[in-house]
Formats: sequence, C-alpha cells, structure tokens
Amino acid sequence: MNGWLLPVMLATPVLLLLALGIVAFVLRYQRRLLRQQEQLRQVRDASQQQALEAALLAQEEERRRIAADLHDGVGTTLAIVKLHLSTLGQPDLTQEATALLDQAISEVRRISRNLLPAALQKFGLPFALDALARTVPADGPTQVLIEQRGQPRRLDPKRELIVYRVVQELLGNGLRHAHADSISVSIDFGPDYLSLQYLDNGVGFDPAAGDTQPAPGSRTGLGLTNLRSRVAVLRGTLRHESAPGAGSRIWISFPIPYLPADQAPTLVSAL
Amino acid sequence: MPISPWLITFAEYLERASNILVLVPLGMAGWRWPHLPSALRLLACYLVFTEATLLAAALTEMYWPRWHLLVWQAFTITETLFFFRIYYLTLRVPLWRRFIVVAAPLFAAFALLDTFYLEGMHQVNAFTHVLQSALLIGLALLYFEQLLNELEVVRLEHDPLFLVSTAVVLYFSGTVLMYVFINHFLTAKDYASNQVVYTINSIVNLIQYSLFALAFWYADRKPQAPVHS
Repeated sequence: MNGWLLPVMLATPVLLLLALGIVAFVLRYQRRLLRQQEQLRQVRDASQQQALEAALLAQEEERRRIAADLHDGVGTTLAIVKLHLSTLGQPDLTQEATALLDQAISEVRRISRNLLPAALQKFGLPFALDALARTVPADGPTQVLIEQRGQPRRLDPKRELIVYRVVQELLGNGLRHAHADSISVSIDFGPDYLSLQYLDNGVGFDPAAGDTQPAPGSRTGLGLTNLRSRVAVLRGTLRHESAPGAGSRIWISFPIPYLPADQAPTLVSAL
Repeated sequence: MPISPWLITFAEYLERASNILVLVPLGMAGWRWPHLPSALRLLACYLVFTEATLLAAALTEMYWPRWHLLVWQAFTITETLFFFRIYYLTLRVPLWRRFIVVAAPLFAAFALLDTFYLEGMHQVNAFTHVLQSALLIGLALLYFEQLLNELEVVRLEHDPLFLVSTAVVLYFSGTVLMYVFINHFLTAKDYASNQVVYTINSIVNLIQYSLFALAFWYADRKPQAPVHS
C-alpha cells in the first residue's frame, strides 16, 4: 500500500468533521440569533404595550381630574351664583340669568359625566352601557341598540373603563360619520372573554384608505387607530369589514378575567 | 497493509454510484427549472458541464491518453468560475462581490501558470486544487456569514444556497488532501491505493450530489432572497 494513503485516509475524515462542525455551528448560531431576535421583539412589544397603557391611563387620569374640577369647582360655583341670584328677590330681573345658569350647570354636568362616567364607577360596565344607550335620543335619525349577552359581570375597573371607552368610541364614530339608520352594538360576556360586535348600515369606509388624507366629506377608518390602541392595551383582537356604501362591521374580542362576585367593586352608597 | 479485495470492489461500485447519482440533482433541476433562481440554474448548467467533462475525459483517455489530465485541468478552472459566478449572484456585500471579480481572473491566471509552468500538463495540478478549495470554501463561509447577518431565512436546512454551500464546504474539505497527494498515488501505479483514494472522492461526491438535489427540491418551496445580476 502506498505510504501516503494512511495519512490521507486519517486526515480526510478529520477535515470532513471540521467542515461538518462549521455547518452545525452556523445552524446552531443562526437558531440562537433568531431566538434572541424573537426575545428582543417580545421585549419591544411589551414595552410598547406598557407605554400605550401608561398613555391611556394618564389620559383617563387627566379626564378624571378635569371632570372632578368641573363638577366640584365650576359646577359648585355656578350653583352658588344661582343661589345668590335667588336671594336677590327679583325674579323678573334674574329669570333669564337663572335659566342661563341652569343651562351652564347641566352642561358642566354633561361634560363631567362624559369625561368620567359616574355610572361606570358606581355600578359597573353593564349598567354604564345601558346608560350610554339611553343617552342617544330614541326619536333621532339613528336607532341605536346596545345589547348585552351572556352573564354581565364586573371586571377590574381599569378594564371596565377601557371596554367602556371602546364602546363609546364605536358609538361616537358611528353617530358622527356613518350616517346610518341603525347602529347595533352587542356585547357578549363569555366565560373568559368579552366580545363586541358593532354593526351599522351607513356609508361605510374604505379600509385601505386609513393612512391617506381623506377627501372632504368622505369617511375613513381613522377612528380604528384609536380603537386598536385601546384594544391592544387589553391584548384583544380587532377585525373589521367595510366598503363605501356597504355599512361597517367590527368585531373585537378581549381575553378578560372576570372578578369573582366577592371581589367586585362595592357600590358607592352615596348616589 | 494489504487492502481487502471486497473493499476494492466496494470502491468501484461506489464510484459508479456517484457517477449515476448526479442524474438525481440533474433531474430535479430539470423538473424545477421554471422556478429556479439564476444561481441554481447556473448550478444545473455546472452539473451538465460535469457530465460532459466525464464523457470528454473518457474519450480523451481512450484516444489521446497523454492529454487526459489536461481535460480535468480545464474542468477545474471552469468549475471554479461556475462557483464564482454562483456566489457572485448570491452574495450581496459589494466588497465580497468585488473580491470575486478580482479573484476570478487571478485564479484562472494561476491555474494556467500551474498547468503550463509549475506542475505541467501531465500531472494533476495540486496547487490549483488547493487554491480552488480555499477560495470556494471561503466563498461558502462568506455566504454563511451573510445568512447570519441578515437572518432572513428561518430554516437554513431548507435554504437552497445554504445546502449548496454545505456541499461545497464538505466536498472541497474532503478532497483537498487527496489532491495534495494524488500525484504520489498516480506515480506509484498502485491500483488498490488509487481505488481507495477515489472512494473518498466518491463518498464526498455522493454527499455533494444529494445536497444539490435537496437544494433543487427546496428551490420553489421557499422565496429566495433577491439576487443581483
């Protein structure tokens, strides 16, 4: 046998093993890099989620503060002014001023209620949603139906507020822009989820035109951006279906842990 | 140490098997041709060229045995240029592409120098083979680096060019030592030793053709990264 054969026979497998080692290293290293990238993406998503949540909570806190200031400050001052007017004992002269003051007081109450729905804080989401439905005049151009299915239950107050805002936004957008004859919102309190279905027979919108400058008088899906932000805070999903002239349908689902009956926020006694 | 006759028979069969196995990637390339990106089409052309060279080498050995090795020396140059072009189409870093543009004529010049001056036309050009192995393994490693930098491919084992590069790394690292010593085996006129050496070549060829076949198989199953022409 040739004297060179043995070294070649021995060294070649070693070289092949080295080559295989390089390939295996590349495969493993690539997997590790992909895993790290995925972890980084998850951390980024989580921090975005936290920032979004913080922004929305700050917004709600600011609303709460303004609502309290309006109700306790401006509202009380107006009430005192009205009291002073009544003590003048000249109803003929103060009648118009008193009427204007009444109008201002009710306006302050309305704004305050919109900023922070007292019904939500006191009685919870199911009651607040009913109250929201009652705020739309029954003899208006749009018939609004808010329907609750399943077993209406209390949630964590922060979640209740977000869900309420979502319904409020859906309804507000629909009333302002859809020009619909009817709007229906159904809320399904599932075993471990809460789903919303919005349906209108209005002008609809082009879902693809969300990021473009809207033409005057046209409707875009820009309201969806706010909805998405709120839905994202509760890690929910949003799906929509619409076309110009074909109405709109929006489905939202939240994975929601309901509060046990004994942990439900207690009703405020002073109504 | 004597070599068993069964091992020699096995080596002969293995060599034939590796020559036949090339039909598998070729068939696969023909089947997937409309979906193949430029780099893989070039690889298919290289396989056709390999088969044509085998035929030309057999005819030359029969009629002009003195010039038989010249066919393989020409093949080595063309094979390297084929792979240079494949990697030129695949690699995206401009510096690496410029390196290929510069390395291709330099390699061809060195191979011609080796053929006509250093080692001559009548023996296997070991220097050229070593340089070829170093360059092509280097290009394959550059492609690995590109994959790791871009992280666009999730399953590397399904990436056709990763499979081709793996084949290149395995083939050239498995045969480089054989080519360094091949002239010693050929001059020794020891048929048994030669056959064992060719067995090494056949084994890495089998691996190479299997990986090429897999590369063609996955060619239309996964979107390829854009190639530059």
